[in-house]
Amino acid sequence: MIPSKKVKSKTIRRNRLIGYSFLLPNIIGFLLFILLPVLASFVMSFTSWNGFGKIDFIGLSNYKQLLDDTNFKISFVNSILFMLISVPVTLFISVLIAVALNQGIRFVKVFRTAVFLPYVTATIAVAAVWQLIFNPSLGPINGTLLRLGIENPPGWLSDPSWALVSVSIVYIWHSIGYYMILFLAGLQSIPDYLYEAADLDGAGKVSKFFHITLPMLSPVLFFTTIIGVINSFKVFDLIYVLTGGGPGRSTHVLVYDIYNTAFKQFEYGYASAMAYVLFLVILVISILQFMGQRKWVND
Amino acid sequence: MKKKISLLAILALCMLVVFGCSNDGTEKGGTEAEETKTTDEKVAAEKVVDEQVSLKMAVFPADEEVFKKGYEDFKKDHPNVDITFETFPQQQYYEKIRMQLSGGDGYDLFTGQMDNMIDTGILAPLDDYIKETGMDVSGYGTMFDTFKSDGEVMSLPYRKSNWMLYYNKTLFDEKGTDYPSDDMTWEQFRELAKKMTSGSGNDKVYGAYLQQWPSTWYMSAVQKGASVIDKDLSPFKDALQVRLDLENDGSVMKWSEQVSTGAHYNAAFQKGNIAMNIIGDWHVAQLRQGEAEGTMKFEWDVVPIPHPEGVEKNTSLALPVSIMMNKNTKHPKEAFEFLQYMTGKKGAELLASQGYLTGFMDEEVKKAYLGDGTQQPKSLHYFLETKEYPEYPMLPGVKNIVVEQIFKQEGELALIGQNSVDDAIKEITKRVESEWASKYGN
Repeated sequence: MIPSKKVKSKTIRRNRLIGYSFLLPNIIGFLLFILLPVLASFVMSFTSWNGFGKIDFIGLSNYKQLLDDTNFKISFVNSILFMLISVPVTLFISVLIAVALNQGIRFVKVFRTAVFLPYVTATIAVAAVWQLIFNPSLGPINGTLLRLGIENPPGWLSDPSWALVSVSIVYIWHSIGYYMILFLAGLQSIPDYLYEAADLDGAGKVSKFFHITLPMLSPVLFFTTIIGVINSFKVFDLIYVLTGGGPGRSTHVLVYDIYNTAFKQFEYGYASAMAYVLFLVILVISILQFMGQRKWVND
Repeated sequence: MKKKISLLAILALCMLVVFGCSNDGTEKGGTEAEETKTTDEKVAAEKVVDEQVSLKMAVFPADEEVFKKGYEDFKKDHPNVDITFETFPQQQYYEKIRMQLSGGDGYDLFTGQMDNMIDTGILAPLDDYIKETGMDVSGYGTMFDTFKSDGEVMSLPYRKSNWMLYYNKTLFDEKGTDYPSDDMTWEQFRELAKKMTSGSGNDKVYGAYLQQWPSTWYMSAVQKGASVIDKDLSPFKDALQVRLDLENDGSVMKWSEQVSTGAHYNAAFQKGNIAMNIIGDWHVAQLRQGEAEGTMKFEWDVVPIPHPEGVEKNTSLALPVSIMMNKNTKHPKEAFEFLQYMTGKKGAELLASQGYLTGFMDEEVKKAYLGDGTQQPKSLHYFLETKEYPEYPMLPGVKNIVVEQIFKQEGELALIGQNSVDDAIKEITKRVESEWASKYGN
């Protein structure tokens, strides 16, 4: 029996090796292109490096400087506002659309594709088109509003109090497709017998939605909330093309500020410190969400 | 046994993928290294005959053509020097070239505004080369000294980017209005712009066009001798008010509309419905190109920009664009030779003949600038006697932090009616103090 045991452990070891070798490309990619830069920028956040010459370590001064940096404060508030506007609305609309497109209606596949299409369109192209749509004097939105008799339609992207909302609208429209697909998958995994049982008990459509669909969707909802929050903090390309952070500083968000500090003002060290604060913020929000998860997510 | 072989094969494949990937990333560096190697080998082999040298240079997108032309001429005397030019869209120009330069390999020479590059510490001081070659620097005038950094010459200017007022003669003729004079106050300019404005929709004629850059409104303060980093920025109030008045009169396109439509001075003026356009000297070359392509159907000319009350006429702002040399270049001699060629007399004659107001100026360059009188505009002669202030001080970061951000963001809020002019200038003063002065210990 002893030799066969040896053979068995050999096989196991060999299988493991094969397994690892399949993982190898991914692990190497992760180490080289993600972990290494992440660590490097952590080190950089304690320096005043501008990309050239000697690297001077300045301890925590970058982080201290962040405390009185008004640009950073404004970006921080804008990022939070952007998240508070875009995440709930995106999730709400995508759940509704997913439920609607989960019915056996005609051309359901066409509709699903139509909703998903914006998500696979290049953000830059999306932004360029929306810029035309939002044009205060020539754009179709204000054209319609004026015709409807609204005298002073908002200036959208060129109005500081509307700019962030306008960007959120584009962002929401652009990302609904992705969340809709996730919800659709969640909906299709809800077993039919729950609805049949509810039918027998005489439940209406609304109460079925609130007592079966939503609770059964809660794991997906939890996942999408986390992803949604992270993505909304990461918004950059839309802002870059639509407003460039303006007018004034009304759409200056964190990632835009980081880009601006690193690649316009060439303060790599300071920008890295900002990036780590952003990381901490996302981390804390995610931890809070995981802690709250037990209260509302069905397993 | 078979399994072992397949395992090895998989491993080999993975390694291939990894190396394939990493090769992709550094492909550029790799081929460059090879290039220099081959030139090194060549150098060794042909040392006696002639040293073959290749240089790489980054230039502003608008200047690429004229540099290529200059190089063709330069090559006649320097057949052994091979120069490749690279360019990036203006908006990302500095971030791209800084990225390349910090990566170690990069450019032997590059063009730009010196304040964007001086903090890198890679600019080669040029004094020794100038002395060695006995270069004639008289043509730079006072700029040669005012442009030094800590007493050293770190770059030489090839063009000045002076501001001019371009006007559409045909529109003035149609209206029967006198052409803009060379001695106009901003208030008179406003009246004239108002007079020239008419129509709406497709027939709209704007009296003037001011590009959505902060410099187009703050220039009248700088004409009075104020600087964007002064502690007291009150002269800028009037300056901002001028632009706001012009917008309220309807004689210029509104800032917000310019931003949301991505309007551009060149396309706008060439379209033919703008009477006066205040923009830099490089616009001459753009308009001549438009004429050559047959897209422009009107006569045009230039006069000095308007001036504030009490300031002498023909006072302008200049923003020198210069060539800088990488102190790590392997071929400083050849690199400096080309720098000297383009910024010196010969290059200046070439640039001037294209309509650029050059850093180096003497009688022959002036002649080349004025041309033989067959080309528009007729009145370039004004700009040979301009009194000029620097558009902003050549200190590291002034352009990006102070001008691009503080003046743009806060000025914008006043122009879209979100803030009063007084409050905007107050905010700018506060931010220049906290965001710029604090960083540079001034």
